[in-house]
Amino acid sequence: MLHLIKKDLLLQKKALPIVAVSLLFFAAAFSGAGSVGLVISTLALGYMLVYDAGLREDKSDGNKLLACLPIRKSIVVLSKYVSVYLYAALILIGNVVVRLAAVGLGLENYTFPITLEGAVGAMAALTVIFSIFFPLIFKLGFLKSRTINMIVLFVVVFAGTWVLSAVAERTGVNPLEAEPGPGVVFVMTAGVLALLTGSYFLSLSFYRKREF
Amino acid sequence: MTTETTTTTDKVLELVNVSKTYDGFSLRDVTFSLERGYIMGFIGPNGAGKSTTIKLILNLAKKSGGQIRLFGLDHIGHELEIKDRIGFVSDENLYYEDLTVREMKNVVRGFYSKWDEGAFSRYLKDFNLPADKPIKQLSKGMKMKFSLAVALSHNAELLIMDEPTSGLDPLVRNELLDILQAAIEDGDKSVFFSSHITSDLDKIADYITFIHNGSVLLSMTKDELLEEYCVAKGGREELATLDRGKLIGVKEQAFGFEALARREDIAGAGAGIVIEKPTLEDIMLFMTRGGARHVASH
Repeated sequence: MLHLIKKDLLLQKKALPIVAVSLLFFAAAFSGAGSVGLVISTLALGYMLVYDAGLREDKSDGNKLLACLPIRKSIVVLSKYVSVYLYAALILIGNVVVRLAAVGLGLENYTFPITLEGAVGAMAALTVIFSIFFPLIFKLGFLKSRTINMIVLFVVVFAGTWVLSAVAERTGVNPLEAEPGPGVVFVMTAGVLALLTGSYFLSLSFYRKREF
Repeated sequence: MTTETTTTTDKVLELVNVSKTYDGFSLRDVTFSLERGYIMGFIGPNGAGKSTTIKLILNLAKKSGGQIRLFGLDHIGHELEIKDRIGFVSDENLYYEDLTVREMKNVVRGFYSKWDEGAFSRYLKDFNLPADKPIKQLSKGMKMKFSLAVALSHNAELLIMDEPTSGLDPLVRNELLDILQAAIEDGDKSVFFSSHITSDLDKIADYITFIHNGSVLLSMTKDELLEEYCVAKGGREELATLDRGKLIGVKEQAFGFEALARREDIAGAGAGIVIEKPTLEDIMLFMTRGGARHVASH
């Protein structure tokens, strides 16, 4: 699996300067957003890295290459899921470096703070997004799934917003602003992990049936 | 020990009644086998089913029926072991264009249990491949040589090649054929070589399997094939003396004809008819045209 992740990183060697610039851009653009800035930065850059690696793979017919090599299909699928968290970790480290540099230079007001809530929120958001994206990616490939996945993303965002609004209206409490209790945290964590597990097995099922 | 677990079988590749159905195309009852140490040419016109057959062998597409065994092992049940022992060389570049030759090698080497780094370095030198050049900057011939270097460096026992010489100039094609012949000299490697450029297979193939419209028309040694069939040439009046039902294909021209037939079917032909040894191209062209009459346009 390490070889597959290393391959994805190698494929993006030319994209790294763009990612570095984007990191600075997000740090400045969402400096007033608090922990949400870290979530948005990690989500956007994580999406960028995963899709960049995938599109380069599609362009080179890399899926056919992988299918010809002696690799378990489950490892190919798992490596994509693991790579999301590797990218997230790298982006987090990048944001920490930017924040430390900004603090050192007295420019902390121009970056967002690095908080545990932000980091956990970013991981959860990436997990949800790619749990939704990956099954279709493994069925159709990155290129063909991109448009459909964007539509799915918008549907999920709008449906989520509608549900949150409905909850806020009924209870008088905005779920995003409320401090979640341990029970809520447990249910949400279990929900996210169930989504991730279901997504992995669906992706594997699609990938096993895929023809090249 | 059962056949399923025997890995030293002489048959490195065996297809039995393999079928696959797509919209508008079917592969039907494809049956042939290749023994260790030989080169099999897999010929047929474009769209005959050559690439589909290779995809089924590599499990890149799912077969609708039949059995595929490599080294005596089921191609799905022992997929990883089989893929560790084969090398695939495609007519299209499968490698990541942005990576250099060295980076690409470093990606694939980790997946093979018998990777030989020394052998790879030797092939790079022999094939004049620049290790630090991005793959997208290599010519088609160089990309093909790189694919071959990868296949040979993990000690593949069977090379599966899908139109490897397509689009290459004659010089590079000849070079590639020489490399292949040298590679199987130890008698332990076999090559399954799909091509519609039959002259390449005239040079190197031991066996020929001919596929047309999704069905295998013949599969035998090249020598048997060239002995069994012949090309008959003569004037139009001589054509009238032949039993046309026994001619596999006829090309009629203004002053004469050419026909493909089995030697035994044309043994009693008149003195005016010249019998020649066919090329693989003759066999492929006459068989795909069938009995259709062709009138040359000159």
